[in-house]
Amino acid sequence: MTFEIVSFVVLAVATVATAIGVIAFKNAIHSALSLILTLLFLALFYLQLQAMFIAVVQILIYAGAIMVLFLFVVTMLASDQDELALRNQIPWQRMVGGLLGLILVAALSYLLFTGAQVTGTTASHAESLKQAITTYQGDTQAFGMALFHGFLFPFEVTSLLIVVAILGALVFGRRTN
Amino acid sequence: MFQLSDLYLLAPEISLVLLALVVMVIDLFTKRRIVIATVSLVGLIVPVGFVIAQAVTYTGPRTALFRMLVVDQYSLFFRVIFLIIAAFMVLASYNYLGKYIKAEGEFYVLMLFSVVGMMLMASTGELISIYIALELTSFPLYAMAGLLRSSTKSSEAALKYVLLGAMSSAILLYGFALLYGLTGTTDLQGIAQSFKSFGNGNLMVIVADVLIIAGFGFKISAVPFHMWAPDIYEGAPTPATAFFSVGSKAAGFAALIRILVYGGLWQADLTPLIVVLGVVAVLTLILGNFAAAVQTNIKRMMAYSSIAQAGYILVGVVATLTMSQKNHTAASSGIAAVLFFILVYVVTNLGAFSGIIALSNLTGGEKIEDFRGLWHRSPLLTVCTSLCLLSLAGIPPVAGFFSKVFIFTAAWQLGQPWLVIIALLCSIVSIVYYGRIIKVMFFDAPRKEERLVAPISLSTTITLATAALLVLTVIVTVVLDAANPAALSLFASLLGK
Amino acid sequence: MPLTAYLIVSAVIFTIGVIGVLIRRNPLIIFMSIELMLNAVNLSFVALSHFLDSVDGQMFVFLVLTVAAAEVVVGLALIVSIFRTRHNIDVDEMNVLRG
Repeated sequence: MTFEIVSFVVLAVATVATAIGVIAFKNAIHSALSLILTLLFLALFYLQLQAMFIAVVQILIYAGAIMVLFLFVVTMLASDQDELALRNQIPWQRMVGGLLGLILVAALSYLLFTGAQVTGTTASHAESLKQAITTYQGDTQAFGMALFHGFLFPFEVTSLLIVVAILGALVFGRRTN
Repeated sequence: MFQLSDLYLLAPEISLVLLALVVMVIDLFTKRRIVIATVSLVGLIVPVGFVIAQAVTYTGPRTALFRMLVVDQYSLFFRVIFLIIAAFMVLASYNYLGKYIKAEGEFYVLMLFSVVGMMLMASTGELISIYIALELTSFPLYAMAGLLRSSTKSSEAALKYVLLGAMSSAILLYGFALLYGLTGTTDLQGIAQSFKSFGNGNLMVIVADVLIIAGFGFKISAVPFHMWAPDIYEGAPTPATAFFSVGSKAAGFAALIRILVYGGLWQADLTPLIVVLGVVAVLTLILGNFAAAVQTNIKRMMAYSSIAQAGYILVGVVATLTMSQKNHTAASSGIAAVLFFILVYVVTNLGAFSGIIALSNLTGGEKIEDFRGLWHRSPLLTVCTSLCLLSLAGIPPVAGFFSKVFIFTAAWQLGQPWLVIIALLCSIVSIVYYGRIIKVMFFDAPRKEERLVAPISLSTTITLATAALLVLTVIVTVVLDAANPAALSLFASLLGK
Repeated sequence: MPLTAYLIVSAVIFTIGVIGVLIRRNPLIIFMSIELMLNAVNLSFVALSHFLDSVDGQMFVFLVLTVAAAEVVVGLALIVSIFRTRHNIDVDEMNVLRG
């Protein structure tokens, strides 16, 4: 029990620290590296929550694929960061942003301490997750059953989404003559 | 349970996806715009046929694929709206594409995929599916915003749209997470069942609702979340702007109302939420209308005008939520008014936009002063555009008047008189800026004398839109007869049990 | 650990992401902040799914991951294309000056 608490606290502190790093670093490369660390720590959180499959997918897709793409673009554009800056920034935006953030943290944690409650029992589509984990020694089988059975519809629509994403990338990526 | 016959419920969407793929393949082989546009337009007949068949044969709601797919009168009503949008878009963008964009095929394919997403948004009854459908709607919009490759404004609009869209869907997801935590399910009917026991205000319900409304607030450009809408509208290619202003807004409202009403969230005590939403509606109305009044660029003016129109729809939504707990039938009259308003708004705004596309194409300018004296140069276009603008302003003989009357009376009866009064005052302001364009077109001296000949597709579009508007004006009762059961069908699943 | 602990970590990360979107000007870093927001939501979902003993939350996470990947593809393609057009303009201007 104490090990669980210690590991949770260490992970939580590490995750939050690296997350702050993402938005605090001046250099986008440092931000990206910090984000990779955050994602890895989150994967450890998932392991702690017995979500093996999601943890592995998190590392493979997020830390592996998405962040590589990010790093690729960041390094490619490294010299021209300022050119890309968006306009329409209001001078006091930083302060207001920070203030709003503090209020949001306070409000959310207050709510979560006082109001959080779990009333539902089990999912509408799948058997009990804990039971599945002990029966199959992992949640991957329960996950697969749910994904290709109860959640077939959104899963199939995702395929359309990917076609559209490819098309969008193609439209933007094509050279203009 | 999954049966092959369930796929029939999805037939309109499936046929539309196939059409998009066919257009994509044709685009590979021939670059002739006329072929691509004709195929898209003719191909739309298939989904339209399926929707009509479903509308005629289905009297009650049907669900399939573990209640993720819900085909009821409500979703059929919205499917019709989205197919109308698709048809108008093919026609209205035809000339613009030839002149400014070298990627005609892509434009149509993206547009069709987006329409598929919109139709799914209106007909899914489950949070994950709603999220995926929302993204399927948004991705093509991002790409469409940036299609003007040579213009930095267009690329910047697309970038802003992507960042804003991604952020708003993250906020929406957070709301979904809280909702899932509260109820233990992502199925809207399951959520509705567990909300039966949420009598007194649980603060988490309100927070979840606020996050969900904030997430959709970006899609429908309601006020604190409208920041970049005018920039996006101005920078994007004009047909894409027309598409954003009607499609993404109608789809956003479709899903929002589906979650709030079909998901049974109204069963909890929502008083704080109604106050928040009322304030959002008032701000949207005031800012939209007053900012529109001072614009000189017509696309920016239309952007603010569409923000203002979202305000009127929000008034209807607020009114519905106030009454839902006490009287379902009365509350459903609010939704019926909203549905009618959205339908009229879609037709009118598309008409106004095709008029603006045509006129700015011909005159080569997007400033309001470029439209001086167009009455002498192109009477047909001017009259049609003016009719659409009059309808947007809600001047009596046209359909826009009825849609506003319905929403205002519904809101008044449902106990929101203050909102109605503010909305009425705001629509008086709106007469000023819509009227200014009409005055400029009819009474100011033209800059040049020579006649403008509009391309055939554009004059067809705007004539069709105006005709549709007039038809809507005549058959108001028929449309209401369709809107009322559509609104009631949202309550059906809850009351049936 | 109680559910609340996980939810608070998630809320904190979400807030950091929101602040990042508000205060940073570099679109790449804004994009990363949005990824932070999405991951915070994912953490909530996984924690809820664990404590609710249901797999639905994990389904959400998996599909959000997919969508996020697609979103990054579109967004980064756009950023690269903006960079390239601006860059091209510069190059053209130089040619004009020399010619």
